[in-house]
Amino acid sequence: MKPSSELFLGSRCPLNGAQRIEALKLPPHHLTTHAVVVGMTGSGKTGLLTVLVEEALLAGVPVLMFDVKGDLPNLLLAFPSFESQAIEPWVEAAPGDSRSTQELASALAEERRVGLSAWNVTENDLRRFADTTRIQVITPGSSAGTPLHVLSSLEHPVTDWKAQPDAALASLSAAVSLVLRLLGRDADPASSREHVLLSVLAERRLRAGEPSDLGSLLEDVTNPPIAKVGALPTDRFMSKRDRASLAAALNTLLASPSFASWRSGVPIDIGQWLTPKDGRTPGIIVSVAHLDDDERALVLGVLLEELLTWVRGLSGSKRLRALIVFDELYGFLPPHPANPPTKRPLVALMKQARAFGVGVVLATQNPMDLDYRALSNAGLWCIGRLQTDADRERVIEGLSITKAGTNGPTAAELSDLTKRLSPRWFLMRNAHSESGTQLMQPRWAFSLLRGPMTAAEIRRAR
Amino acid sequence: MDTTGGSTGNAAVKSASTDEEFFLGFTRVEAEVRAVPEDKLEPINLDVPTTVTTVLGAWPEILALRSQVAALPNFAIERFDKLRDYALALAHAHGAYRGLAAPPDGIVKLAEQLASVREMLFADAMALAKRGVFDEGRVAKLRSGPGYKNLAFDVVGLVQILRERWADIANRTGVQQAELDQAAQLAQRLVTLVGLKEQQPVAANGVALLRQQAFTLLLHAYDEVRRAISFLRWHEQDVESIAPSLWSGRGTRPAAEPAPTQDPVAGGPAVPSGNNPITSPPAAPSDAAHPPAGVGLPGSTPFSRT
Repeated sequence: MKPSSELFLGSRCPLNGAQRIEALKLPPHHLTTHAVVVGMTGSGKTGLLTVLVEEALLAGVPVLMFDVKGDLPNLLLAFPSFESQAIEPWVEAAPGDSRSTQELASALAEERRVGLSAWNVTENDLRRFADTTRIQVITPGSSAGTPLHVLSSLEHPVTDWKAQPDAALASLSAAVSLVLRLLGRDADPASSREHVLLSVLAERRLRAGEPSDLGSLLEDVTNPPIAKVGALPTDRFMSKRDRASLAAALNTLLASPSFASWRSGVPIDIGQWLTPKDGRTPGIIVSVAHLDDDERALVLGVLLEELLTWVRGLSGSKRLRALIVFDELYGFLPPHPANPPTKRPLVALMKQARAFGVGVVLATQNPMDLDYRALSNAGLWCIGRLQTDADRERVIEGLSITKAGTNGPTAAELSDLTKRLSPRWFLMRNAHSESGTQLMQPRWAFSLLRGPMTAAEIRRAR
Repeated sequence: MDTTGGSTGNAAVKSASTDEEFFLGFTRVEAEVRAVPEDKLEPINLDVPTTVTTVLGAWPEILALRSQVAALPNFAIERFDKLRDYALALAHAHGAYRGLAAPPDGIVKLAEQLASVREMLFADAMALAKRGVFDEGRVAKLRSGPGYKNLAFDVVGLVQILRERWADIANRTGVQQAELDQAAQLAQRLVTLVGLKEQQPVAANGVALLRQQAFTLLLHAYDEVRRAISFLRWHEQDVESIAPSLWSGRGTRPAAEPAPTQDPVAGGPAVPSGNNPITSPPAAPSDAAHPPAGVGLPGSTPFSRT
């Protein structure tokens, strides 16, 4: 495999699957119009995403990944050679298999060598990937990977309040929601008086350039430095008794050892994260697989708001400046009227990031639960095998292929094809290409794809 | 230990549909659940109710293969036998977790309901007190206590007063025995919820850990069972119809069309198989271990034969 500025994703061929198989090389800028990867479990979505990330990193494009399932930390297992020693800690015998760990690792290493070699990937390519990239796993609320100061947008804001007041407010709102969720209280900015009070108090401090850490906020809640909230006197907006209750809860949270893990670690500074260091292109994985559903939505909401703020602060660009990958979108970009904290920034990214050279790749195995209006601008669609009629119809609908056309297959034909696809094969439609809908097969990934990694495994792989 | 779990998938789910069933299952394997070390915990990245119902639904068909599984070398059949209890234990732990995570408005709604119950019981008890059946002063104290706990204990007190003289008043009051039972249950539930809420910062950590331990235990045991069945049913390739993958994301048994998800033929790294570590393919059917073009390799067929 020769070094190239194009992304070598695998091969492609016409829909009949038998003729003119050729290498699939994607110019990076094609991803500025975003990509969507859909397919049932086992269709090979994670393999395709991993290849996309590996190729982007090799092309010098920083990648920020949001990992819900726990698969993407497999990028830590992109061993720089075909040897089996590195694989040994990651194999386990199946029931009835009497082979030793060494024998299993050797067999797997050989399988990897054969697979990669078949795609013309050499050990030099593996070494180049290892030498030129830096994979970091960030684990909010856990020290398995790099811990994250999730409330840094509240306590140590990066956003400039004067230059981007709206963005800063959105980041603040997301952080306050997370605090209230951790307190077990109503975290909805639209309905929670506690949210309003904390936001107003924090905003006052941040606009004045003062720290807005929870300790300071606790003081402000007890003795408000403001006379009114909205049009009401502060005491009428929330009674002293209710404020005392909120302050007590904040204090309990501050004193909780488990909460310390949310407030320590690297701050949320997307620009810093995605800056190459020592000649290595960063691949940052924010893994939230260990969190429950509510915590995931809130933490990702905080991060996506910060990401959106960073994107809006960039200058315009037509080249792919950074790639954002979201693996398993289920529940985070649902159709109306559901509105989790992740939806607003995701929709905004899909609409606006293109102009700044930031591409977004979204993947899901649940195509029924997506806001397709948000995805309608995606330029690259990769559709793996889908098992249910409803899923197929929804995706075809999302592709806006609803009736027989003069160019290419009808909706019914596409639906039939997606039903019969083999694992690791996808239907691909690229708005930048005049080839229409084609078949694509991702190459073998550099990384050892062994499924979701536990916290202990992430710690071991770092 | 009852390991049969009913004769059909639906029956198995139905038989485990009560909290008591979940609790009993939990108590049978509690020691194992709590023994799962924290550094071995799996992330809960599946919908827990779906996971439980999938395992319970699959259990009858899995159980039918017990004798064959037991004959496999180096297979821990005792964990196979406890698979259903592991699922029940997870359901119990999840219920406890959800109870703790219940939003405050759950308490508010319950309190509103209980307040109307208190009014009804108080009115009846006071009417009887006016007629000299009860001590009026004793009844009068059971109305105006502020706060959730006082509300709950007001109701407990009213129920107690009415029950004390139930034989005498049964025909003189509009209150029914069943209403007293329900009122007592509601009061007990409110007291429990308030207590849990007060202990939440401490208790939530413990319950969340327990849930994750139960999840890990079930996941590993089910994983082992699937591997065994995958080996035993290698030629039939119907492991998905017997013990469906928990990672299908749908929560229903797969249709007749086999999913390629856990295709052990592939075995290779390009399609992660759930959260399984890399495993070797079963050793027996060697001719199937190398499909014609090699899944994931250039030249493999884009379409399945189904």
